[in-house]
Amino acid sequence: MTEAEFQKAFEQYKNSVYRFAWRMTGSSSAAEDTVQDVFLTLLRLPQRFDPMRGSLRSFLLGIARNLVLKRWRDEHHWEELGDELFVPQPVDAATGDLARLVGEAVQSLPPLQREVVILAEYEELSLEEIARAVESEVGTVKSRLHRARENLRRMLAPLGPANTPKGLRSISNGTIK
Amino acid sequence: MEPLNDNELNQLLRRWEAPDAPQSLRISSVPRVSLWRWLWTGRIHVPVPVGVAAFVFIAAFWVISVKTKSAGPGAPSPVGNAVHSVTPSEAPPQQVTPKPAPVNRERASPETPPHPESAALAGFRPVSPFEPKVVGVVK
Repeated sequence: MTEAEFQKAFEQYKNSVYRFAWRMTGSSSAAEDTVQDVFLTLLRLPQRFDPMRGSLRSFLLGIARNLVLKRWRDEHHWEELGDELFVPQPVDAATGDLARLVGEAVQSLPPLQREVVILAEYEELSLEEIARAVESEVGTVKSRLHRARENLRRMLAPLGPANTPKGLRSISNGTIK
Repeated sequence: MEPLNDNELNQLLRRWEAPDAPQSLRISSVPRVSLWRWLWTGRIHVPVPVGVAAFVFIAAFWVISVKTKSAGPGAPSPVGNAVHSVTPSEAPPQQVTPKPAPVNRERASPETPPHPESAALAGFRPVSPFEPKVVGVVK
């Protein structure tokens, strides 16, 4: 990979990698570190990217995912990465900003569910691309995504129009009134 | 409470927007954390076998150094005593060999001359009198 190709890839995909890491960690400094490490990996080991196996973007997001999970494991030694014990709690709709409530709900998901939701809903990767990025089977990704969406449905139910008293609350402008 | 349908959930998820990467973000191959900060906040991951080996090595070194100190720098070496106790007149001729006695070079100092060919009693001090103490009642 030439310097020009690297710079082009950096300018093209840095936002995507940053947004993913930011959503996964909730921290801008952690997201910056992740972007650094992802592109340093590309710079040092460009041969690891195989265009036959997928796009460069999904490859970079896969590296970012591994780095974020590694960081998570370092910080949560005794917590399970899986989602068997996760019990979704409905958000408290009275506590302000809608975007923040949605963000907190997504970030409270177990890491393996969170990553598939972010890759599918926000980065708009296909199931095959997600499967390559998270090194799992397509079926596994599909079921994780299904469980994640079910959990989000329950957590965000208080924000739905059917559960919001008319005249008191509205989600149309992004805030709860 | 009615659960959200797919459309409502997608609409809600879209509300959560993430910022773009800061413009100042550049890739540099040098570490971004200063050495001084790293010395205070950095972490070093050491594999367990390496850590255990290092601990055993340090502990063994410490034990050996403590034992060496407790023996004292002026303590007579058993090897030295053996050499001094054998005089040419006492030893049979065939046992007197020109082989030099082993010298503890670490303890060698200008005040301690090399082992003489013949025994000199100038610095000889007899052992203190042996005074046994009987403990208990003798019937």
